[in-house]
Amino acid sequence: MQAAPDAVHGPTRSRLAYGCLTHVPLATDFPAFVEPILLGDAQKEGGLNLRDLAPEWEPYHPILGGLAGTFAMKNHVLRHHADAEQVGLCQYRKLVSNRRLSRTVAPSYKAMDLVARRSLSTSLLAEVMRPSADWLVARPFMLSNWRKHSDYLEQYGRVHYPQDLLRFTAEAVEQQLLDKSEAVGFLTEQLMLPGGIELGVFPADFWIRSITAIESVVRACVKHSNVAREGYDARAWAFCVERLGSYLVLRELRTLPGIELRLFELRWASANHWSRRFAGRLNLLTDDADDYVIGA
Amino acid sequence: MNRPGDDGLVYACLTHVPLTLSFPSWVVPIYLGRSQHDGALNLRDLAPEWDLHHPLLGSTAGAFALSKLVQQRFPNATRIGICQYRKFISRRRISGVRDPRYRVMDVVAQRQLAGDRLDAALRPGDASFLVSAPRRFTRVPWHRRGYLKEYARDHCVEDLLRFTGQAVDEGVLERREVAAFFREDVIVPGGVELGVYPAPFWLESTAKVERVVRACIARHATVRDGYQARLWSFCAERLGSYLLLRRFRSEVAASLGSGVEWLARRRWTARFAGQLNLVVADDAHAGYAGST
Repeated sequence: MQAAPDAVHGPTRSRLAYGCLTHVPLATDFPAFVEPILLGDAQKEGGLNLRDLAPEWEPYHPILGGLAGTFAMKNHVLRHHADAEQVGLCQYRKLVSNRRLSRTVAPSYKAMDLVARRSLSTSLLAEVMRPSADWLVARPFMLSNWRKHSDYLEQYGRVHYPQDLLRFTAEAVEQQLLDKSEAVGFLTEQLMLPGGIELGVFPADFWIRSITAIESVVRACVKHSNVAREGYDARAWAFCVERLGSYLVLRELRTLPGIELRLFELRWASANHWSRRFAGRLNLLTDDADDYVIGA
Repeated sequence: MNRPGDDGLVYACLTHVPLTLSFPSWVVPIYLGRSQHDGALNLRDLAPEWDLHHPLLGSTAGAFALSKLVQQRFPNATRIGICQYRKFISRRRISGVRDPRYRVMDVVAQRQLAGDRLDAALRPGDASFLVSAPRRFTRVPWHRRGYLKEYARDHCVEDLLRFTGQAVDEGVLERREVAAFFREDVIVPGGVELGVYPAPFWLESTAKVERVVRACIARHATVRDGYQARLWSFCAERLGSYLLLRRFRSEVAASLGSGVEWLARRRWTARFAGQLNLVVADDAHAGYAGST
């Protein structure tokens, strides 16, 4: 296996371990501090492969998708970047930037911008992927609007099988990742952080602690589940993790100082509010500015 | 009405203790747990599948046994009635004394049911449904409660989550209904296990609940101590209540303003609700503590 690049980026910058999860050959020249975590057919001799980093999850890659790579990244950080202060994650065509890179909003997913690969240089990526604070997360959005109420459970039930989210939540309660009143808060949460805990940059101790707990919940779900969903819904546990990751990040960020007021569609946040300090922009890299096809 | 099944009404009293009330001859006792004895209608004989799981189910196991009894011996029943050894629904209030902890229930001293009074109190007349008056969980509008929040406060929330997941798997709840089920703020105490119901509705609803409970027990080996032992019964009560509400709301759906929850509730309450009673040995009752 190749030696992991040094994660130290100068005396003024915190130690950042950044992984890019991919199951295809990378078509983007990511900066040197971004290490590719290879999944599925992209795995190769000398690469940071799922099968080596987290062999337990290798057979589940088809149902977990990029989530299997997130668990591999956790093991990679623990083994090779034990002194990391921050952990960053992107995917082969999705990343969180600290500022907007394009004004082309994905028509089917308004929380994400479409960015043409040819408009990005390695140095620009290095600049926008590096966090300027402790966190760099996608900009959250409200599931509810003035016309309809929605929350994690309602939205999940609309697009997936809600029983999967219920069982996943039950397991998270049983493992004390959520307490019993938080289970209600989680299912009725209306603010969604795209990518949850799997896209962006997070404080290492928070991220390791959270993803370890999530991994344990997923392990129990995979073990106890006797339901195999077909097609897009095969990745049910990954969909659940996106929501739980989103909730855990929000739970942590909401403990920080700062005031936010919301009145229907109107929103005001104080300068020290986390959404103004830490929220960047989720981007989808495209060969040309096409639309996002979910799950593709 | 002298015998079970007269006038199409099969009325059962579910008990896990020796009965201390003199129930009328048309009420058939179904014995559960340690109260089972030779020559009686026992859970172990009627529904042996559920005898082992009685601790997880409490009187819900008795409802499943009653379902078997009705199908085997009273296939022509038109209405099903259920009371428990110390709880029943009457058409009118008997004592007028509310339980200090559970305000929807009246406390009735045993002496108030002496002679023929219990018989008279249990008779549902020609009511198709006779259930407890509903409760609303939410006290103040800015703090809305509902089944899930209420369950999480009093019980182990993961059980209701798993039970609901199974209800969706079994097709008892639709995918889009889950959020409505959890947000539901009105509960009919006892669900489909306390009161009088039209036989087709009750048999169908009980079969649905039974299917979900069976799948839950097969899938989850959860065992809890003390009061929480009857975990699947708590879940079954909420599902039964939800199925009832769905029916009641459809019954009044044609009325003007039926989309307004409180107005619809007032209408179906007037038509279908009686009084839930708890029988106590004497007047010194400190308040319902939530056990059977």
